[in-house]
Amino acid sequence: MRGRMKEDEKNEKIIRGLLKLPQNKRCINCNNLGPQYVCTNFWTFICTNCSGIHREFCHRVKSISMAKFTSQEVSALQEGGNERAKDIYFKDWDPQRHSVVDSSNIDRLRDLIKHVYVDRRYSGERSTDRPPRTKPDNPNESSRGDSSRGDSRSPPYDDHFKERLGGRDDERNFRFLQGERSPGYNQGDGKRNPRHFEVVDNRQREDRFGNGNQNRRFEDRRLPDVVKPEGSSPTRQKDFSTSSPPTVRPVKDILGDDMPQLRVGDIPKSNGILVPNIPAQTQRTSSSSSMGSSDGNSAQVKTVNDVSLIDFSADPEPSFGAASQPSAAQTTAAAPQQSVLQTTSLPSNAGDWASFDVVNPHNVPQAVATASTLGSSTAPLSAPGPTSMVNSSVLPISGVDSSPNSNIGGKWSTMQHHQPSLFPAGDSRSTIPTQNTNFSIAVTLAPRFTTVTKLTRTFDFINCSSFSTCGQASSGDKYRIFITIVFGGIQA
Amino acid sequence: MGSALSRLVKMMFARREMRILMVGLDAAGKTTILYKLKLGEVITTIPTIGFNVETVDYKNVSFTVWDVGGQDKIRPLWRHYFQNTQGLIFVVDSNDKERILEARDELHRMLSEAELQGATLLVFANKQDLPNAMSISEITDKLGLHALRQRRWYIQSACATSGEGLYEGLDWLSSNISNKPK
Repeated sequence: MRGRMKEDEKNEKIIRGLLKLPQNKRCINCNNLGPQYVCTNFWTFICTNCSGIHREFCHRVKSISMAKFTSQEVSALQEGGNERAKDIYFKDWDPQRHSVVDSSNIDRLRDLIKHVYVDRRYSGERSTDRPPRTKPDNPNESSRGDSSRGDSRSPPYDDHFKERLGGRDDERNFRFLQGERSPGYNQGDGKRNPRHFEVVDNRQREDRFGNGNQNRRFEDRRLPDVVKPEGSSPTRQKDFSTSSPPTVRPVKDILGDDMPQLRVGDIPKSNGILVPNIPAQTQRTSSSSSMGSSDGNSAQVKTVNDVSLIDFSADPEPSFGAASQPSAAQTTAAAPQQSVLQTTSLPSNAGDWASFDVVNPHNVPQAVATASTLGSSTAPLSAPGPTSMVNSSVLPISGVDSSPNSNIGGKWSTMQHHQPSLFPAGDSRSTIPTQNTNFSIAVTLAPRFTTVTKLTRTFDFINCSSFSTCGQASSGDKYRIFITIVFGGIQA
Repeated sequence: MGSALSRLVKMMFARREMRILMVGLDAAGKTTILYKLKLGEVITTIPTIGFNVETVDYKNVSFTVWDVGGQDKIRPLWRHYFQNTQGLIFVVDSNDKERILEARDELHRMLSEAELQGATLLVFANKQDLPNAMSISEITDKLGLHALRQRRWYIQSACATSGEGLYEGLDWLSSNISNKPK
C-alpha cells in the first residue's frame, strides 16, 4: 500500500515535471495557460474547459491532481505530450490562418476539437482515404476503443456539427480577414513548423474568390492605396515588427516537395487543395486575395488570372525579378499588359510611403501610369484578344536606389523565358521553379509593405522567395526591401 | 377521523423530500444527468471537482440530488455525503467496458458502508445511445447487482443527452424509497 502511494506520488511528480515543458505549459487546444487535465486518447495536456469538451466526444480525460496515473500512462505521457500531439493532430494547422479559440467560447472549442481529433482535419491525412488512426504510443488505448467511438456518434450529432462547420468556416474567414489572432500563439507555431501547408477546401476558396463583392471591394481600394500609400503605415509598421517573424519561411522549405502539387486549376472538389499558408497578416491588410490561383495560359473564370512575384530582399541589388500577370478577377480574358514594378525601399524611411512619390520624381509618373494601366487593365481585360502590348515600368517605393526600367516585354511565353534570369543563380533563395506558374501562393507581407501588397494582392502568384527575403528584412536588415512585381500579360 | 383523513391527504399530496446521492466513475455522465433533470437541457460540463447539488421536483417529490465528482482521487470523499442519503444513484458509462469492474468495486465498497444500509440503489446505465453500449443485462452482471442482498435496487438504461430513462429512474426511486423520518 505504501509502495503504491509512493508510486502515485512519483508519477504525479513526473507529470508535474512534464507540465513544465514549454509545449505543455499551455492547453494544446485553446492555448490556455496551465492545463490541469490530460487527455489520455491523445496524450495531450488540456485545460478544464477543453477537458469537458473532450469528454463529449468520449475522449478520456484525467485530472492531473485528482486522478491516479499508472506508470504506463506516465510513460505514454512522456512520449506524447503536446509537442508530439501538435505534430500529429495539428500538422496542417496554420496558426496564422486559424485564430486561437478562446477557451470560454465553448462552441468554437467544440468545433475545433472535433475538427482536430475526430475529423483529423489537420493531421495531414486526406479526409477520404484516411488511414486507420495513428495513435500515439499507448498500450491502453488500443483496447480502450474510446477514440473510435468519437467518430461514431449518432447521426443527429454529426449533422449538428456539419451545420456548425459551415457557419464556422464563414466565421473563420471573417475572423482572419479581420486579422484576429494571438501573436504569442503564432510565434510559437511559426517557428515550430515552417513547412506547413494548409488544406483549403473549396468552400473557402469560393468564399474568397467567388465572392464578387469582395473582389470588387479590393479592386476599388487597390488603386487609391497605390496613389496614396502613406495611408496607415505607422500602425502597420508596428504590426510588422511584432508579427512578421512567423512569416519567415525558407524558400526551399516552401518550394521543396509540395510545390509542384500546388495547382489551382483543377481543385479536387472533396479534398481541397494544398495551398501554402495564407497568413492572417495578409488577410488583414488585403481584404481579398493575397492568395490566388493562376494559370499561366488559360484565363480562369473563377479566380484571378495573374501571377505576381514579389521579392523582398535584403540584398540591395535590384536583381530580383518577378513575373506576374495583372489581375483579371472579374474578367475572363487574359491581361494584355506586362509591367514591371521594381520597387526599392531603402534605409530607415522604408515605412514612409510618402517618399514613394517624392524620391524619384522621374519614375513617379510611371508609377502612376502603372497604377492606371493596372486600373485600366481591367477594361482591356474584358475584351478578349491577344493584344500583347507591353507596358513595363519601374515603380520605386522609396527609391533612392531605384533601378532603371527593366522592361520585360513580350508575351507570356517570353515572360517565362525571362524568368530564370530574373533570379540570379547566385542567390540560393531564389530557387523557384520557373515553370511553375500555375500554383498559388499566399504571402505574408509585412504590414508596412502592404501598400504594395494591396497593389499586388490580386496577383495570383507571389514569388515564394518573398517569404525568405521578407523574413530577413524583418529580422535584420529591415530597411532594404525590394519589391519586384512584374505584371505579365498573356495572350489568350 | 378528521385527523386520519388529513393525514391521508397529506400523504397523498404533501411534497415529499428525498435526499439523493449520485455517484459513479468520472465521465459517467452524472453532472449531465443532474442538469438534464434540473434544466431539461444538456449543458457542457467540466469534470466535477467537489459536488453539484440541485433540487429536482418531480411528481410531488422534491429530490435533492448531490452529484459528487468521480475522479479516482476524490472518490474517498463520497462517504462524506452518505449521511441521510435515502437514495443512491450510481451512474455507469455503458460504453466503458474497461472500467466497468472498477465501477463494480466502487459500488460494492460504497454499499458496504453502514450509512448507506437503508438507501435504495438506482443504477443508471448511461450513454445507451452510443453504438457500443453494453446491454442492461450485461451491466447488471458485471456490476454484480444480483449479488446484492437486502437491497432494493433497480437498473435503468438512460441517455442523459436525450433524457431518456431519467424520469423513469426517478419514478422508481420515488416509489421505492423508504420514508424514513429525517
